Order: sequence, then structure tokens, then C-alpha cells
Amino acid sequence: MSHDSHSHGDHKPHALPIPILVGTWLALMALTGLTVWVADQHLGKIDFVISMAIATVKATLVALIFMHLLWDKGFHSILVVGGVLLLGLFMAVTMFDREHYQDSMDQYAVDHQLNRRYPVIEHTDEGHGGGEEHAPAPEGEAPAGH
Amino acid sequence: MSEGHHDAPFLAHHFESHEHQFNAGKLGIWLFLFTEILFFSGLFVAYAVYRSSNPEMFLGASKFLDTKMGAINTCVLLLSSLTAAWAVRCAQLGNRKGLILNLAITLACACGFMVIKYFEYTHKFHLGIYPGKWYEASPDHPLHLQTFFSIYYVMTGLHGIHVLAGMGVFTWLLRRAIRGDFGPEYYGPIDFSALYWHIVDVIWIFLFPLLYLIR
Amino acid sequence: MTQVDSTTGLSHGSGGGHVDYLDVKKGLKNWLVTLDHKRIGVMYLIAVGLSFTLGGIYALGLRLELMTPGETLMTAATYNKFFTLHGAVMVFLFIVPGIPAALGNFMLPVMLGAPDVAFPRLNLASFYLWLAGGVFFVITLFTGGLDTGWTFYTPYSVSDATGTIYATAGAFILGFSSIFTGLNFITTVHKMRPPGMGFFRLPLFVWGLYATAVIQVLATPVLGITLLLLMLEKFGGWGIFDPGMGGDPVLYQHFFWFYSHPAVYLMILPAMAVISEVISTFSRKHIFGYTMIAYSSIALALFGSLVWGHHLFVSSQSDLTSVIFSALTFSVAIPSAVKVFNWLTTLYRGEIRLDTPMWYALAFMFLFLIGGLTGLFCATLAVDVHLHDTYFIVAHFHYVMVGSVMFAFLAGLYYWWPKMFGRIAPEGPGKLSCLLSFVGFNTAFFPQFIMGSLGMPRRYYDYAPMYAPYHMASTIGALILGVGILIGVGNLLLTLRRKKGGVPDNPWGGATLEWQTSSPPPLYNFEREFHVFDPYDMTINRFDEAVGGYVLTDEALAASKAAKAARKSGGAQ
Repeated sequence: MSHDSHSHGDHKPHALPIPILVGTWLALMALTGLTVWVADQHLGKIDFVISMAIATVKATLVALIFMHLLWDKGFHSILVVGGVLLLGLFMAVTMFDREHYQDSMDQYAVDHQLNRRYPVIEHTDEGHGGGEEHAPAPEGEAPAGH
Repeated sequence: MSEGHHDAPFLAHHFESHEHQFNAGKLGIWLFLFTEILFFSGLFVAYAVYRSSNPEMFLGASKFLDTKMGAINTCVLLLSSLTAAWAVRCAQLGNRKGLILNLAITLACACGFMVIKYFEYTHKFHLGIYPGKWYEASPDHPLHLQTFFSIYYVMTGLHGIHVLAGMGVFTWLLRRAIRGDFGPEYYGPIDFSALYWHIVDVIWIFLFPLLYLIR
Repeated sequence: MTQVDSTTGLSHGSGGGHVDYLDVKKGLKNWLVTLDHKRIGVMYLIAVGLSFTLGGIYALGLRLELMTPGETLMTAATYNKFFTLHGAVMVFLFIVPGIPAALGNFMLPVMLGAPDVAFPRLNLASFYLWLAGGVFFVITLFTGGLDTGWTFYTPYSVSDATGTIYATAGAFILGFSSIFTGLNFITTVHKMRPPGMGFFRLPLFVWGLYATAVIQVLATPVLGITLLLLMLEKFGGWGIFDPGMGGDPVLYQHFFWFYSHPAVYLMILPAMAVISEVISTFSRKHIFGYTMIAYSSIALALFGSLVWGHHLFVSSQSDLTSVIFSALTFSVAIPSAVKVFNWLTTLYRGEIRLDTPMWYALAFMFLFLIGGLTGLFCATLAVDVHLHDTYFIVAHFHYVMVGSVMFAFLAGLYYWWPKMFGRIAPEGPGKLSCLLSFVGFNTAFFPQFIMGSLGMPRRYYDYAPMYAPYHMASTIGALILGVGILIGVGNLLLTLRRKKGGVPDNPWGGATLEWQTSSPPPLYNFEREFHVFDPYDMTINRFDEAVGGYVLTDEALAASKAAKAARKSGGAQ
């Protein structure tokens, strides 16, 4: 095979500058601290949305900077976005459908005398604050040293 | 066949240039990461279905997980992600010492993650919270605690297997880096392994709030 | 076909020191560690051939049992194992890997003018994963068989006493084989194209393989996780699909069909791709609507991934979801019809040559039409409630999976056999086999439409006497089909006893790149310079009496050289 017309120049890799690398990492650590802190603020249902939003921001940071997507070929980003969209679709349809047959699932449990529904825990003292201490964001506390 | 330019040691015969080989490998690894996302998607869907139908059970069971351990593990993985990305930079710039150091830290963090995971698991086992049918009920446990832990063990277990695989890969890379295989011309394996490692990190970024931070 | 016996055809540049891929390094050991995509393709061919034989034996066993009501040949429990293993072996070991892994592996790089696929080691690893998966299925046979149906539906698959865990482990591993093949093919198509071959100059077989590979990487991982969860459930009582533990058995069906419906398109797309090649070549005419066929492959891959819910119409799926899935399922008919119309239009006013591959291709079109159109009945919600789990469904998917995929596979084998092994199969037995298979197939499966719509449920061991004539016809048809396939495959295999060689580079007059190298190709596929043209421009070839096959015309060569020179000077600036 002769692919002369394709003759490539020297491959110049795009190396990430250290401040960007470390800055991203610090942001990720801070967001980890934030999500732990928010979890202990007893915000109720919105808590889940916030923690997922923070996780998404963190994942996006990793994907765009550590994984180089910001400077990479668009096709790779399409793959990632496509994968996430498919996940979303898969989840949306299954969850949507699930809601509609929840009743028959519950009926099954009743028919078979399965004690599947749990006593609803009211959002009182019992539901919150037990167990764990407030975990401070252990920034830079990773056991394997630098 | 023009074999003339194929005197480079790590250039496979069917590629024209290092760049050609690198681009092919990069597309390959991204496709693989795409399949990884979908591989885990099943677990996320199962999680969503479980949690939506048993919200109280998730609330109660999550208290058996130690947020501190989870948070530390998150930080360990984030640090290893940083060093993995840094290793790529070192390889690109031909900094062999930095490459070795970063790979070693990444590997150490991966080991640290698994050690912490080990302590978490053994602590659960100590309480009788074994996976699946080996679960031992106890009066201290909320009803059907094992349902939450079924999903917990699958998700963290599968993630843990990915970490173990990553440890294998980084050991191999470290050996090759010490041998001096990599440089600005040829650093594909470092880049691809780092990408894999980042996706392992990203999955943990979601697992942490989903499992540990249910309030 | 007179050039078969022509022994003058060696003057096409492959004489002298030509060593083809079969002769490079002989011996079993060299084959087992080969990285050559052609040898891997041949190994796949042998392996899927054996699987097909196994699945076929089960099929004949089933049909013989069903010949008369009541126990004819085997007990009910054995029957359950037979239909399960027939389905599982045929789906996971034959249809899914069949065309892409065997023919595709061989032809894809050659059609791209590349020396190999992008990741040759991964390719070999895929093959060994396939073998490992196959071994698990064999273990299943010796550990009590499998009687869950190939779908492994929970909760039955969790509670039954057969070798479900081995079979699911096998399918899990096969899934990875499939993923790696898909990943490899996508990268190959993106990165290994020669200069001058843009995406819209790819042969349609490559487009088909590309779309197949998209499904492989998109859907198969979900199968992997599904089977993993099922294994945990079975082995460790995990409870994810167990309603008694808060799990959800319908979730399993969502998971399973999220993969397995796209998998149906994964089976049919490469088959369609073969037909696009064959129809165009044997009509001596440019394929009609190239762009539309290419796009329709991608459309099938995408639509096909969004219709899994139509398997759950009667599985307590909500009405609204069902309506949406029903509508999406109808939309799949559009790209399928685009393909059929384009093939028909290609035939129109072509110089049609009725060689064996073309016979199979024409049979494919007829059978696919029936299979595809009856799919619309099944997509219709109200009708499906009646037809669900009846022989109507059995007949429908056999028309698509056997009638279409197997006929296309044979068309492709007959078409590329000269290229792969340097021997041309005799026409007589080939055509006879096509005729017998076609008649046998329709006799076997058309009655199933009728008895299905009358209410005969699938997977039943016994039946009411009113269905007896249909079952009898079906069994007779299956036997004829078996004989037909046997003749077709035997005819190919018998050529291997003949001396290799004497086959022109381009016996059929195809315009794609694989016809520009020798038959069989050398180790890295091309020893001579090749020329990239429009893959369906039939005017580039002329029949050469001396060679006994087609050769490039002088005008085409001159045009290609001019284009190369232009690219060179364009690149130098």
C-alpha cells in the first residue's frame, strides 16, 4: 500500500499544563467536600437532585479536562454524549413503564404475603442525623502520598 | 507492501505512522468507554427502579455505609485520576522520571482504594451483611436490608473489578515506562489506560452519592 | 458459467512468486496464533459452521417430534431442551457472529484496501472469546441441558434445575466477543480507508458491517450486565429480579430486549449488505440509490435500538409505552422497504446473470419481503395480543432469521468462495440446493403462519389434532430444507478437494476492491497497486477471454492514475 498522499507531519501531542491539571483536581476535591456537606443539610427531596448535579459537574470536569475531550476530536464527544443519552432513554422508558405496573407488583406481594412494603419512616429524628458524624472534606488526605 | 518506514519498534505493520496508529487506538478506546457506560447503565437503571419502589428501605440501609470511608475513597480516586492525567503529560513531554512517579502514585492510589474497600466489605460481613442468599438477618437490621446491599455489592463489586483490572494495566505500564518504551512519539498505551482509569473514576463519582449520601 | 473449467486464467499477475494467505505458514499451530484477519475469518467460518450443524440437528429433532401429536420421538422435557438449545445455539453461536465475524472479517479489510483490521490481536482475542463462549454452551449440553428458552426469562430461569448458569456465562462471554469485533470494525472503517475512498465510496457491505458494529457496541454491553445479574441471581440469590425481595421480573425483560431486539438488526443488517453487493454485481448495473441504502443501514441500527418494548406488549407494560413502541416499530419498515425497493430497481433493466449467488439473493428478497411484512402484523398492538407467543411469531422470525440471514449467508459464501479459497463451486448443485432450500423453507414455515393465527402456541410439545396437517407439512418442509442446505454446503466443501488456483481475480465482474487482488489474496491482501473507484461502477471492468474473468479497462486505469497524480500534487502543495 502506498499512502503517500497522506504523509503526516510530526505528531505534536497536546500536553496539558500543570496549573490546569492541578486546578481541575482541586475543583473536584472541593466539589466532593460540597456534596458531603450538602448531604448533611437535611434538604429533603431536593437533596438527591443536588448531589446528582454535583456528580454530573464533577464527571464533566473529568471528561473535558482529564480525558482531554475539550481538545479532542468531536467524534469522541459524540460517543460520550450518545452513551449518556442512551442510558437516559433506557432509564426513562423503564422507569416510566415501571410506574404503571407498580400496582400489580404490590398486589403480588399481598397475594404471596410478602412483607415487602416497609413501614414508612417519618422524617423525624429517626430518619436523619443518626449514625454518621459530619464528615469533613478530607482535602489532600489521600493515604498514598504525593 | 511498503515496509520501509516500519523500523519503529512499536509501530504495527498495518499502520502507516505513529499518528495513524495513535488515532486508531484512541478511537478504539473511546468506543470501549462507550460500551463501559452502557455496561454500567443496566446497574443504574436497576438502582433507579429499586430506589423508586423502596425509598424508605434505601434510606434506612444507607446508614450502614460509612460516608467518611466513601469520601476518602473518592478523594483517593480523584488523586489517582490527576496523576494518571499527569502521567500522560509526562509521556508526551518525554519526562521519563515524572512518568514513572505518576504511574506509581496512580497504582498506589488504586491499591489504597481497594484496601479501604476491603475494610468496608469485611465490616459489612462482620455485621452479617453478606451478599445475596448468604445474608444473615439480625434484629438490628431494617427489613430487607439485603435488597439494598444486593445492588450495593453488584455496583461496587463490578467497579472494584474494574479497579483491579486498572491495577494490572498500570503495573504493566510501569514496567514498560521503567524500560523506557514511551516518549512523545509513542505514548498511546499511557493515554488509553489513563482514559480507562478516568471512566472508572467517573463511575465512582456517581456511585458515591447514590450509595453513601442517601439522606 | 463457462470460465469455471477454464485453466488459462493464471495470466493475471498472480503467477511467479505469488504466495497466498493459505500457503504462507502452514500447520495448525500457525493458524491458531495467526493475526491475519483472513485466517481468523476462516476459523470463524468453520466454527459457526459447526454451530449451525448443531443447531440444525436440534431443529430437525424438534420438527420430527412435532410431526404427529403426542410423543413422537422424545419426552416433553427433552423437547423443552431441544427448542432452547436450538434457539440459543443458532442465535448466539451462528446468526450473530455468522456473516460479520466470518465473511466480514475476511472481506472488510480487503474491501478497504487495508492490510488488516485496526486491531489484529483484539480480533484474535474475539475469536478465542467466541470459542470460550461456545465451550460453555457445550458444557451446558453435558450438565442437564437448558430448558428456559433462549431468552432466559426470570423467574423460571432462576428456579429451574438445568445448566442455565453455564449457558448465561457462555452468552456473556460471546457478548464480549461481539463487542470487540464491533469496536474493531468501527475503528477499521474510520481509520483504515485508502486515499480516495470517502464514506460515500464505501462498498455497501462495509456500510452494513459498520451499522452492525454500531449495534454491537451499543446494545451488547446491556446484555452483558443483564446476564451477569441473572447469574448472580441464580448463583447467589441476589434478588434483583425477584419480586419477593423487592426486585422486578419485568425489569429483566426490559434489560434483555434492550439488547436482543437490536440484535435482530445485528443479524439482518449484514445479510442485507451481502445482498446489496450480489444484486448489483449480477445485474451488471450500478446499485440504485446508493446513498439511501447506506443511510437506511444506519437508520435501521438506530430505530432498531428504540423498539425493544414491542416484546413486552403482553408483559404488563403500560398502554402508553406500548403505543409508543408500536409506532416506533412501524417506522422500522421504512428503511427496510427503502432497501428492497432499491434492490428491485437495481434489477430493472440490468444485464442479470443468474449464477448461484444471484439465485440465493433473489430467494432472499422474496423471503425477506414476507418476513418483513408479517413483522408489521406483530407490531400492531391489538393483533399482537392475539398473535403473541404463537407459531405466527415463530414463522415471522424464521422468515427473517433463516429465510433471510441464512440465504444471504449462502449467497455471500457462493459469491466470495472463489476469492476466499481459490475455487469456484459447480453451478448445478448450487442452484439445486437453492431451489430445494427455497421450496423446503416455504413448506416448513408458511403453514406456521396459518396455524399460528389459528392459535397454535409456540414452544408447545403437544397440540390439538386440528393442527396436525400443518405440522406434518412443516416437518416435511424442514427435511427438504435440510437436504437443500446439505447439498449447498457440501457442494462448497467438495471444491476444497480440488486443486487450488485457476480462478480469475474477478470471476463475477464485481467493482469492489476485493476483486482487484488475487484469488485467494496474499498475506497482506494486495501485492499489486490497487485502484479506488466508485464501488458499483460496472463500466470499469471488461470481460477478458484470456483470463476467464473480468479485468479493469484501460480507461478506468488511466482515470485512476490521473486521480492519484492529482491527489499527490494536491497533497504536496
